[in-house]
Amino acid sequence: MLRRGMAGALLAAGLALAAIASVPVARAQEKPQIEAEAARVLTAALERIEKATSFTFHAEVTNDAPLPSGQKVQFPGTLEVAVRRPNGLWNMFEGEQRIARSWYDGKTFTLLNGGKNVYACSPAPEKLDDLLGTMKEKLGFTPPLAPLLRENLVATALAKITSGYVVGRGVIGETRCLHLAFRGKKTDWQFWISEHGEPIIRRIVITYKLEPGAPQFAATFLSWDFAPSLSDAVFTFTPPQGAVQCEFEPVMR
Amino acid sequence: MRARTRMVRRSLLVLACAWLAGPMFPLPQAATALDRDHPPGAAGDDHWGDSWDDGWDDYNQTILRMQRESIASQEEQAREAGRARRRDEIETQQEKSAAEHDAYFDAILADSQAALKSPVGVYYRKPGYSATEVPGSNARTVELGGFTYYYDQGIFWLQQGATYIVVTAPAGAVVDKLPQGVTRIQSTPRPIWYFFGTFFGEKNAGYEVLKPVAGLTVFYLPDGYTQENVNGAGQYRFGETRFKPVFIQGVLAYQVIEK
Repeated sequence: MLRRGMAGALLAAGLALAAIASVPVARAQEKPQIEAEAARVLTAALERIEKATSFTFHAEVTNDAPLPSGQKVQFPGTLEVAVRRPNGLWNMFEGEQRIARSWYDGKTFTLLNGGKNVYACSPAPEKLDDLLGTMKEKLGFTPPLAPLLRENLVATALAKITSGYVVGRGVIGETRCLHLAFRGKKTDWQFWISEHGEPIIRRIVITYKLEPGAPQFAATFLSWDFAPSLSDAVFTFTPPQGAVQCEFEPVMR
Repeated sequence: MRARTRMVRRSLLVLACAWLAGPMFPLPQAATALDRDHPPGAAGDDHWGDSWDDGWDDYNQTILRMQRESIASQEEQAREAGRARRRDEIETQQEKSAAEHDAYFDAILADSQAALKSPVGVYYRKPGYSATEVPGSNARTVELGGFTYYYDQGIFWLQQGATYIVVTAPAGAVVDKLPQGVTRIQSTPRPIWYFFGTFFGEKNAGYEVLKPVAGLTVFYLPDGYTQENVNGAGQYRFGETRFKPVFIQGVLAYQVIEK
């Protein structure tokens, strides 16, 4: 009788121990969990951009727009960007809702709404990095994919990632790529980076997970040029005929 | 009997231990390459996240915010009104043509598109447009300043002889309902709606056409506006209202200005 009672107790204890042994050791950790391979590949791709004194890219982009009804609509567009460090930026966006171009030449930032032929100019810092760092506060917006244009791109990216891993392999266009996924506090990112040859970003998807509907912004890079020939004229704005000049509304605080 | 009792007790003891231990030691989740639960990272400033947010906070930000916040109820009302209207028309008709069937779905799509940008596919007639027929069967008459206006879906008509002409909305006119495709202007102490150059405010059980005050901001101008150059600055005029263009967070907008 005693043996049977002990057997029952031992059985229960054994079950509890089995449950304990099967539990993962790690709970919430403070340190970011990034797979080494994912960190290595992303770093290499971002360094390629960070070290370039001049570069251009052409991308097809899509923007999600959740409607009040809950329906989500996606807007496609094309984006062309030219960067010449330390003080040159030009970009052109053509989308379903607007056509916009901007110029920065180390002195002035100009935005043109091509569809309505209206433009505005604002004094700008001497360096592109300073412009991108202050635009949001001063004008309320930054150019598309502005983080890719910063000088400290790699350090900033890795410092703010909370986790990352290699999802797998895919093909973007005709390029075999490594598919990486990263998480941050407010956004999640996915990169497709060419697997062979130089590590080039072929596609980015940003998920704004805290926004209603978790909208996404995606960019598929059709081409990169890390040694373009960019003259001063590229970054100099000339008002189109009949263009109307206006102001940037001060950002409300 | 005793053996069975002991077995039952033993089983109950095991179950009790498992139940007690369960919450403290959750079983591991099945993980796949595409579904891994990574714990949250350290708290703190997410400048990288802010920077990527900056990438989002481009020219689309203001339109997205305005559309999301502004027309939730009106959008649903407009779609449902359109669907109900079309359903009634189809049901009462004896013969339905394929073109009418297609138009029904096009109208539904147009109603949705009205929520995305300046209304397209929504009923609109610019000032000066004339017709020989009485405005729509649902038109209401509005008496104001000795004139009798016809109000139909946000458009005001005046009869001149045998024709009916679209005019800019008269300030002070009170109508019973807002037109389909109307958008609500944010950042105003009281609700104000905008529809192709016309500003509406609440009045009793209806809506009053307002004379807009300086500073009201809209994101499209109605067809029929004129562009003027005043002291070197570009302005737009629609009826008695003047607008100046302005970029708000990179998005082109139009602000009402004093004459």
